[in-house]
Amino acid sequence: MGFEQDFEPLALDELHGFAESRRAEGWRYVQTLAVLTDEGIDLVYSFMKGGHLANHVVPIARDAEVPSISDVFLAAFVFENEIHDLFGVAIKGIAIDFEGNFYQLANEAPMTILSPEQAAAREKAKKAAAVKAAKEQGVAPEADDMEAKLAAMDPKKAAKVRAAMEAKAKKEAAAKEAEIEGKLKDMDSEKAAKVRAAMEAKAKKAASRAEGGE
Amino acid sequence: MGILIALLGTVAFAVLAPVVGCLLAGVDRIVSARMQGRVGPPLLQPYYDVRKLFGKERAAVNGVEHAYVVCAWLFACVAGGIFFTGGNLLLCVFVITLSSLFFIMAAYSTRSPYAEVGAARETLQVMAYEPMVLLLAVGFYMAAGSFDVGAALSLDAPVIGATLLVFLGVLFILTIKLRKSPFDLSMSHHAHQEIVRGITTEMSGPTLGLVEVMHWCENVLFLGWIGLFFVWGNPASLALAVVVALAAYFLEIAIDNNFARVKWQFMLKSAWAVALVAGGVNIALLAFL
Amino acid sequence: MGKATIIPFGPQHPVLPEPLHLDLVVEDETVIDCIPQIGFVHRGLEKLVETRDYNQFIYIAERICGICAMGHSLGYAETVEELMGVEVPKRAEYLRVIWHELSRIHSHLLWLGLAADAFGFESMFMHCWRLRERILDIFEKTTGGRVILSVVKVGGVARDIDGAMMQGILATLDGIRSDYSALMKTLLTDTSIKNRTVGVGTIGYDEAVALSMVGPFARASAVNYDVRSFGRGAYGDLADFQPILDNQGDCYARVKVRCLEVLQSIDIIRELAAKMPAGDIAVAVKGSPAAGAQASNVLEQPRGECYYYARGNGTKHLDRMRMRTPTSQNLAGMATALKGCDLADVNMIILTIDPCISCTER
Repeated sequence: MGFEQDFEPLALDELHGFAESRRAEGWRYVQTLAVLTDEGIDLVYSFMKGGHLANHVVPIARDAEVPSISDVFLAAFVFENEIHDLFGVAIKGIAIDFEGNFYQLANEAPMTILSPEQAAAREKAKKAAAVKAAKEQGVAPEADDMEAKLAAMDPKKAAKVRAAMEAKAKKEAAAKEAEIEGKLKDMDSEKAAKVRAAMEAKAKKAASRAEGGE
Repeated sequence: MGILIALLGTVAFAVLAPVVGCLLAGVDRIVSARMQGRVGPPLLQPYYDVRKLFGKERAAVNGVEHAYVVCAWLFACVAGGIFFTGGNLLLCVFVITLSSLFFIMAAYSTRSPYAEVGAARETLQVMAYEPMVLLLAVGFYMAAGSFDVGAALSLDAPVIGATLLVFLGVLFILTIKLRKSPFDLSMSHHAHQEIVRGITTEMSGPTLGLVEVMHWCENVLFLGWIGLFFVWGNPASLALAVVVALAAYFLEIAIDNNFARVKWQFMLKSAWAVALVAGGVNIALLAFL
Repeated sequence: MGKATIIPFGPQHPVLPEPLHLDLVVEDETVIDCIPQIGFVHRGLEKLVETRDYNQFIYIAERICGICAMGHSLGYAETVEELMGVEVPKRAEYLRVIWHELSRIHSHLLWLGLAADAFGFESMFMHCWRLRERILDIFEKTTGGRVILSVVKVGGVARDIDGAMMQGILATLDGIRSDYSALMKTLLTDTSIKNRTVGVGTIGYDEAVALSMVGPFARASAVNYDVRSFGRGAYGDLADFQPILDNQGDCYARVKVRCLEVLQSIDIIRELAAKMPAGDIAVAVKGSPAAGAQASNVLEQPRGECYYYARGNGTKHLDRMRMRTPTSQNLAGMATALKGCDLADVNMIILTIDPCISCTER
């Protein structure tokens, strides 16, 4: 007996009827799982017959209501309770429903909380995919060079680089200020007051321009 | 006079029986371990365990539990005193039954689900072995002519000759009384039972220590009953009785290690069947022959 | 009639190998209802894919459970290899299966000891675990660990077993086989054991299929399903593999199926050791899984079929890793078997699905 597996999409409204038809044809229920995606949540239902493992991917929105298949396959109640607790998916009609107390968790739907590492990894993957797509189309990437490099780096390192850049910028600004102060000291006091007022006006204008521009 | 002797016997029993019982329990553990391919604890391990228990803090659910256990132990000593000073066998049987009833009451007083199930099972155990024990007393009376244990020392021949079937019946229920597999339903010395520690679940510290001491005293008494069948006028027969008692104890250890635990229905049915057949037939023979 | 008491069973209970809570509604020692509750060992291990890359996660996978450690590391590695299209050398496949079958033997011996203890036969428990020690010694000699082996990696295995060591293993297994046969005879013919297991917790074939049961629990009810019969990896080189079935469906049948599976595993190891090919024990795995790639895998663990799923996102960290363990599949069967049994049978029935709650909850 050989073994083969495949992944097929399935729509949410066909789910219950599909489960019933599988049972009628003698397929064995294997499991249900959930995966967090950018658009929502993917539910994967698996059935097996002979050596054929058929996985069906059902994409849903996070707040969608899913019908339970535990009236067709009782063993599903374990996974549906788990998905409800860990992902916050509302599943209606579970045969043995623990109503959120299957696992006593400290946080609601912990699997939907993206840690910074995972968020950064997904961003990186997205950017890398965008770069790759752009290259294939022959268009030069428009993103800022430094930003692209930062996005491609490990988030901790990126934070360090950013901090270093800011520190450098601050240092340069402080050095410039010190230079001007030095010049002003040497100047005559009235002239110095005029120069200072002009500098402040310039700074205000630059700030308002930046604000207006945003 | 008889009461004074019985009282002295009780005090002597209360002092000596725990020593003998402790050594017996130690031998039990070492022999069981060797049968299982292990080395086993030191011989005095039961003594160390009980000493540790008496040194613990009192953490009882209520105050009356310890009082019941003290009563149970006291009556066990009284029964032993009556038996070993040659007193009335039937009285001894009733007093030891009273002691086990106090033990059951101690478990019920805690109102814990496990202790209640354990106490219910212990009650069933008492119901299972009581008929045979009563037939033991009756059989002895019919063979020796008196209910007094002291009468055995003036016999020409041991009562085993006339009460062989009763003896076999007592050996069968000895397994229940000594709390050994297959009949260790209410309280197993090995912890892995579905009702945790059963009847002694809520007992800890000095109370549990006293329960252990009480079981040692009971064991000595029951082995005394076994030995009684082999005593007659000859003083050497006492040595023979001790040997037979130890042999019976060893047999119980072997049975413990070779059987799984049974459910209460089987225990009740088999114990009553044995009492009816072995005890009944033997007593009928003694009555009509 | 009797009044109903509620007996709280677990999570701390000397007879349970793992924490599980049952509220047993009992009337005169008959269980009329049973409300299970788990969740005491949920450690959120699947979320750790975010902080461990796919090579490091194998250490997490094998620590999901102490008894099934080898199985989980093997299943995880196979899933990631499927995801990235890695072909593992033949010798590595053979070694993996040999360690996995040894793991099956040790798991079943552990279970047999616990089952004996559950119905009050403590000396059997000691004998079974003493035999199991010899398997743990083999593990220690070949991998350095007794329980958590850490010998499987993505791409192959980390250590080799040379010819001399293999001969030593086979000699130990022969010794175990003869001692084990005597033990098995006692377990299967002793009247007091039969008294406690025959007719207890019976589940028929149709019910077993409806409840989607897996593993020896299902094979004892004549459900003919064993992942090893698909012939993947080294299992494909076995001359003949037939799952062990029994059609009684009670606790005695489950004990019998597991007893016979131990002997079958010893035979498998012997056969594979004779056919072992020479070659590398691992291939280097470079790169990361493609974004959006998915793979699933099934493996026959000692407790039944275990399902694995992995999804990549283009980085070294997997997007999702999921293990569906056999015990979670069998919980429905256990809840059904517990209704209407005697209180004294409760731990026998719970043990009979070979519960591994740490695996279930991860």
